[in-house]
Amino acid sequence: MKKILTIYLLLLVFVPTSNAAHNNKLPVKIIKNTLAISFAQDGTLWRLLPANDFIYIDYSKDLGGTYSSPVKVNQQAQKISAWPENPPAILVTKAGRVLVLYYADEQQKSTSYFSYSDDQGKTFSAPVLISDQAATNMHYMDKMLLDRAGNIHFFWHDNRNKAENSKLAGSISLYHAQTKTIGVGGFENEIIPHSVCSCCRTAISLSAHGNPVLLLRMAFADGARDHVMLSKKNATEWGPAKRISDDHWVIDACPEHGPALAIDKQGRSHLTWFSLGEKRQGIFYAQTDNYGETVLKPMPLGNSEFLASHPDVIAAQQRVVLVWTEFNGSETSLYSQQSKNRGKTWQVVKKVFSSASSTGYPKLLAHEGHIFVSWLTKQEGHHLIEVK
Amino acid sequence: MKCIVKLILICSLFFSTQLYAENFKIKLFNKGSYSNILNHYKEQPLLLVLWSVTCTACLSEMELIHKLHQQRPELNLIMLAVDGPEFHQEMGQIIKQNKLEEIEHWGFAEDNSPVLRYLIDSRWYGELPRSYFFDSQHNKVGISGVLSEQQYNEKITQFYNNKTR
Repeated sequence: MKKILTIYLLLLVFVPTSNAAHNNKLPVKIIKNTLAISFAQDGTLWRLLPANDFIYIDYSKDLGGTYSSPVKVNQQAQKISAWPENPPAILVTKAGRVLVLYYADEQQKSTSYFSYSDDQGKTFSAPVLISDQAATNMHYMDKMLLDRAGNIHFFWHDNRNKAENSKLAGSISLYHAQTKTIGVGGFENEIIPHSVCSCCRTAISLSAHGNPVLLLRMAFADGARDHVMLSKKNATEWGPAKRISDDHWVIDACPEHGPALAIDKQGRSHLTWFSLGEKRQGIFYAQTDNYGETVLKPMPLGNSEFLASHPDVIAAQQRVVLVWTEFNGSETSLYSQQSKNRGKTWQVVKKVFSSASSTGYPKLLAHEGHIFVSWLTKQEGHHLIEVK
Repeated sequence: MKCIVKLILICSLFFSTQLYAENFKIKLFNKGSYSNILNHYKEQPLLLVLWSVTCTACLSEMELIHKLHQQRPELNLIMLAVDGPEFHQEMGQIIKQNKLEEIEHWGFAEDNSPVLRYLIDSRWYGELPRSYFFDSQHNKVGISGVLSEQQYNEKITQFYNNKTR
């Protein structure tokens, strides 16, 4: 009996923190190891699964143990587009409306569509375009954000200003639209007057006062691709760009390695990013209490010998959790590190999971004080793992 | 049983080179391909350009690649996309649009596989485009980002003269 108990306890120790009995296999064949995931307030976990012609949605009521049968969001087949740096997005409002943003190639390569469901994902509205120049210009790297007043914000990279963008190699314009009343008119497109790196996603969050804040890789006039924070001051104005990294990475390329941002309730911004600059190479964490006016010295993350990549960050009460991946030549491993005092001190790094197959990017999400990491590996499927 | 194994091997050999169109091929780049390419071009300089269908910077460089090939047909120039076979049709369209059919093309056997990336360069994070200049001894230098015509020509001249740096 003692032996059985010992074996049982050993098994408990070595089984990953995700439920090993879960069926991690995805119900549809998705594109480029890319999916989107989000918690609703009631704890329902929603997923978006981009496949070749349709974007599917399913949900779990048991933290990823089992999922509902997938439902098509778009009823007409479209050439769906997605890659890890450019995933679709899903959010659920307080009232339970499910908001979906996804990409498809139409007359031009890549533009995004918005759709919603008011019946818990059973049916969806006819998808509508976000860009008011979608017929002629490319539009991607969209982000969707819900503010406390119920406005839905969209931010995206848009190539409509080709002449202007051509002055700065590899740069593209950043656009914004917001809406509260879905279905009444189109989305008013607003340019945010800063040139961004064309191939890196933008990170978004709400400030302690509830205004949108962006962290993005900006294209500077000297060719450097360093990061800045941008904050919306009021309903119509954006504050100046605040440079938060001076790595001086001069490159005209697609790093496909955008930053991540989390802002805690007291207004501390937790930042992570990747750089191969003259001054700094690898992935880094830093924090600022004034939205980029002053930034603490960056902390290197992971082992650069193993190509530490694609960090994400989340803040929940006093906890801050970081995750990233490393590759040792045969396996990609997911690592986590956490702080229980808002990033003042950090616990030791933990290896969460490894896979010999290709993987997506890790994504952190929180529900009622619990923090989870979502990670997709081609061989083992989709995992939702609680970070304790 | 032996016959079945032989048949499977013959089939896999046949499908390892994927015909895309009547006038050019996209070959599947798997674990052995990198060393096979280097063996094929033994004691010859080589330019290997890595790209992807989702890399806007790569697409902006295609016109220059076409020009380089026209100006220097003797150049051993290989284009390798990190996209998997499911994107070969899209790759084919881009190759045709940019008149790059005469160049040797490869595509990853598994989409953006970290193992395949690592086999090429264990210090490469995956940023694109990335150009590798090999001299005749196959000493190589990898440069990330869009290069100008002058930069390409300088590097090519340097490597064809067997100088690594």
